[in-house]
This record gives sequence, structure tokens and C-alpha cells, in this order.
Amino acid sequence: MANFHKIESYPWSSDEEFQSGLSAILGPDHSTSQTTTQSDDLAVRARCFYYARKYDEQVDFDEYKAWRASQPAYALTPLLAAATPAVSSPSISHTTTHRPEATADVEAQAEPPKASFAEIMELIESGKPVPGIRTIPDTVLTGQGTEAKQVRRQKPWEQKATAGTVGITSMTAGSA
Amino acid sequence: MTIPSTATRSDESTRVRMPFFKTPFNGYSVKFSPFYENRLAVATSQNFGILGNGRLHVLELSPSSQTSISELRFFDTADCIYDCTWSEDNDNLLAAAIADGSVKVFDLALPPSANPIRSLHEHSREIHSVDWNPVRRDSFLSASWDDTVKLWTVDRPASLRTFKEHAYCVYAAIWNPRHADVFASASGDRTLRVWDIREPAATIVIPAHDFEILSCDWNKYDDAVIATASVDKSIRVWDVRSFRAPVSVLNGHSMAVRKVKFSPHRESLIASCSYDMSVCLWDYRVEDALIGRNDHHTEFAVGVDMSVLVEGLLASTGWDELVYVWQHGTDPRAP
Repeated sequence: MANFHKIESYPWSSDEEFQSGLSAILGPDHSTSQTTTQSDDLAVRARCFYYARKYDEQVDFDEYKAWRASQPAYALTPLLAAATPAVSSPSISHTTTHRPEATADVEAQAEPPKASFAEIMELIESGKPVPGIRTIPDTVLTGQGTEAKQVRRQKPWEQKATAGTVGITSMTAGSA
Repeated sequence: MTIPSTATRSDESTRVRMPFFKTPFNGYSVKFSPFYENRLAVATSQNFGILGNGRLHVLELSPSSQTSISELRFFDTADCIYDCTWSEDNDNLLAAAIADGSVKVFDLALPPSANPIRSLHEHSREIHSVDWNPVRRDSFLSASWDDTVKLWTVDRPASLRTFKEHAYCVYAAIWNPRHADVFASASGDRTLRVWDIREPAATIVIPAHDFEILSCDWNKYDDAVIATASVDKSIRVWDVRSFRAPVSVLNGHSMAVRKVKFSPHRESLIASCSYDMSVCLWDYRVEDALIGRNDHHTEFAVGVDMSVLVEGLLASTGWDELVYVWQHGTDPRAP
């Protein structure tokens, strides 16, 4: 039997062949024409088929689906996001904010469904509100902080240290 | 929300269970407590940190078996949280780097409704890193996308000093582990700068990479050695006394390296995490430097830390909303 962890950790979202196949299966407007469950089942089936063909390891759809459902982290995350078209492969020339494009399979949650990175960027760029953000008042209760309860623990390098670490003090202190 | 506060992932081939923790938001940073062996903080951000709320989790490994992670407390913020740092002086205090440009200080001994106890708002853009001074213990640094680093103490409402030399976002500012006045900053301007806060300007400027530098950390046993991590996918180790060339170049990540961390216990051991979703361990003094790779995350691995109190204990978090804690040499998913 296939190792489901291995299947799960396969880079589905960056495999262009898989993604294009999945897009073809789900159709261009899968998000409106099918329920999340239907799309998820299709995505799981697509994974089973693709993985079996690629590694010559049979993957039982029902078992894999049941296993995913038993994993808290995955049970909460519909696979629908995996149908998001694969994004540009990351490279060293990506944006200055180094928030590269999302590549995740795990981008959505049970309720409310989370938007993908691309969807959030689209909302922001089109000036639409991003759902699910709570208003949290910026109040600060500048009371007395509490006292420490623990004494400081010595760092391992302090225990092992010998006197006279030269280098940097001599470098920096008098170098102006 | 229906997110379990704690969970255990099992590997089908073994009966051993390893703990992980599911966060509702995307993980950005993880830090072990310098006071408690089993405690760690996790900074998280909604919507991949682009826009939304933040949540700072304080987690505990069950002390008996280390088989589960439970949540001790969490603090919610209006804006995303990119980093956090434990006070080196008070085991209850934590500072968080907030996307609105503020540093917020939380007191674990007070209920969430009485927090934060400070909001220090001077940076004009997102704060990307905070680091508490481990030597003097009364102060901490914030590094921001407004190109500056600021120095703070908890009891003053205004910063003590602003360090403005970088030409682009500062992604990390990290204290030297031995010298109370020395820190290094890593920037998108592709330089690493070493500062002595008694001096008016940076004392050393190292053009360390040809692309943005996202992280840096000092060697804990050689105070002149520092590692940098870059968008160029490499980690470079430098000796600031002679920085014409790096001491070592660590190649192996296939995407930008997001964080780099020197071991508190072993001189030459380095941990890193990357947009390639892996957490790697390196020995920068040996030829085949890559000594371990963990592919447990299914999204960008953004935060990694090594426990200062328990040798070999590692933690990581990422955009897959999972926090893992494991012992070096074991698989985070199936030890």
C-alpha cells in the first residue's frame, strides 16, 4: 500500500502536468459549478491516478480519502485550492516584498473557506474587502507588568565559554 | 472555529506519534522560551500575511512524554504578526513584530484582556523581526521595511535610537550573543551591517549576496562568525574580521532561504528553512555541509528555531499552518 504521507507531501501544486490535468478535469469554473466536496473528490481521484501512474504504486481512492479525513490537518483543508493554476515557478528575481506566489495545496479551511494567495491578491488589487478579518481595537493597558518568576538560565555558550573572546569588540569599538 | 487546539499526526508505518500543532493562520516565526524547556511562542498571520489579523500562540510540550502540544495562551492582534522574541529578563514577557509598524509587548501572567501591555509605534512600515538582547537583557531591536532598525527598552515609550543606513527593507536585526552593544542587520539592499550602538554608524558593511538577504544569525561560540540567508537560495558564513570572501557557502535549498539559525549547543551546526518547504541542518565546517533535510511542511517553511535549553530540540512553522517540534535526528512526522 502506498504511503499516504508520501502522497501528501508530493509537490502537487508545483507539478505543472498534474495541475493542467486537474484544471481540465475540474473545468474553468469549478468553483461555481461544483460543490467543494465534489471538487475535492475529483482532486483526490486525480492524485490517486497520477501518483499510481508516476510511481507504479496503486493508491486506493477510498482508503486515501478516509486517511485524509482522519488527519486533522488535512480533514480541515479541502483540496479545492489545489486546482488553482500553478503559479510562476519561484526564482531569485521575485518581488521585493519576498512574498512569492502561493504554491500550496493546503490553502483552505472547512469554514469559512480560506482564499488562496492569488485570490487575496486579486481582492486587494481590485480594491474589494478581504473577508474574515476581525476588528480588534488597538487598546493598550499600560498597567504594571508582572514580575519575573524565573531566574535567568545560563546560555550553553556561557557555560562553555572561556575568557577573552577577542574578535569583534576590538573590531567594532575602536574602529570609528 | 472548528480548529482543534492540539492534534497528533500518526505515521501509518509506526505506532510512534509525534506532536504538531495546527494554527488557524499562516505560521511566520517560532521561538523557544529561554526560561522553560517545554515552552515556545509562534507568530502567525492571516491570509499569508498579506492583510488580516495576527495571533501569537504560546505552546507547551507535555512534559511527561513530549507527545502532544497544548496551547497555554494566545493573543490576537488587528494586524499580522511576523516575528516574536522572548524577554531575556522576565519569563512572562514577549515582544511581537506587527505589520502595522508597531511592536507589541505581551505579559503571559496577565489575561489576554489585559494585554498588550505596550504598543511601541514608530516604524512607518511592517516590522519583520524583533530580537531581545541576551547579554544586557533590558532592550530589544526591531527591523522594519521602512529600512530602519530601532532600539527599545520595555519601560520607555519611545525608541532609544534609530539606525538608518540600509537602502531597502531590513529583514532581520540580531544581537551578538556575547557583546551587549553589538548587533547585525540583514537587508534587501543586499548588505549585512554590523553595528556597535556606542558608535555613530555601522562599523562593518558586508555586501554579502547579490540578492536580498532575508536573515542572519551569529555563531554562539565564535563571536566574529555570522551566517546570512538570501533569496539567491544560499547561506553564507562570514568572519567579520576578514570578509573579502565567505568562510563557507551552503548550497542545497532550491528556493529563497527564509531563516538561518546557529545552534546554541554546537559551534558549527546551522538550521535553515526555505520557500522550498524544507528545514535543513548544516555543518558549515565539513565539505558535505548538508547533514539533514526535513520535508514535513507542505507549504513555505518560514520559521525555525533550536532550543537553547534542550540540546537537539527543533521547532518549525510555515504557511501550511502547522507547528512541528522534534528532536534532531528524528523525522518530525515519524520519529
